[in-house]
Amino acid sequence: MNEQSPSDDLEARLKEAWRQAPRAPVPAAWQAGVMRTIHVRARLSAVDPRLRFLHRTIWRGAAAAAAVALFAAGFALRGGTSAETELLRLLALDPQALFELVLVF
Amino acid sequence: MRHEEVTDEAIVQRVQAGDTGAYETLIERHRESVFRIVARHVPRDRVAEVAHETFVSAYLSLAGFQPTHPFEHWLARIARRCCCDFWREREREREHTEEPDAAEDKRPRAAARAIDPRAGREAEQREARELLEWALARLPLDDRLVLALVYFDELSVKECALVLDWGESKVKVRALRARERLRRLLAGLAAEDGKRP
Repeated sequence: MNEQSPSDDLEARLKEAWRQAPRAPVPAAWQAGVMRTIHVRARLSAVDPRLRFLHRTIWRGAAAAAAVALFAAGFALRGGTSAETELLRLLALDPQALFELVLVF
Repeated sequence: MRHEEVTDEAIVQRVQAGDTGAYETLIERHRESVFRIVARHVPRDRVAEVAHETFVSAYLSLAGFQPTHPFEHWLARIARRCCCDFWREREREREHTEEPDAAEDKRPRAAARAIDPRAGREAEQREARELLEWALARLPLDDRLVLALVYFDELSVKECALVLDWGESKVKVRALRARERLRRLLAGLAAEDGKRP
């Protein structure tokens, strides 16, 4: 016996509906719009290497500054009293100075 | 030299070498097929937008194109990926706004029994399309995507895995489960219609 259930029949109709999806016409100015975006992206990717370098430098600098600040804070909390400890403590309290110091190095 | 004489792969090389304008030839050659693929996956009023996204995405990924495979197949994969992204984005928006999708709640005008083969061919197709949209809208997102690709587009498991960026076993399991859900949904609808006077 090879009789189809109502849901088998519906499934077959859905498949047919998928295949017969109405065509969507390409709008008149569509291609020009795509090419405009492509040209913009092409120009952007031409300056990308410099932007990427700047982006990397900033993030690495910030990460290094954060690591040094954590280290300095830990060191200072241990109660060190030497000049180096004091310097680290001051740097830990002034992240901007610390960041500038990292950028110099 | 006429455009038709230059292969897609040669044009890709020209674009990669900096001749951005040459990309327009690729758009001209493949826009119809991209529109055809996209029109099956997304609502009609969003087809042009997703097709636009497809060509921009393909341009940005040209470095990953392997000339050993036809450009058309590679582009079709990107088109389907953009369609999946469209639904993912829609799902995110829906979660954010917490507004139910209108298509999800609206019962199809022509439900199971109402698809009358005696009706005109055009009306029958429209009704079947309504039912299809209704059923897909009621499935979880992953089920919808995998079902559309494996069951309706008839992609291989391998190709579907590449489009969705899933493992092949996940595609197999989800496709099976999604089809089961669809069948249950349709059986429920058919039974509901059967009870009506």
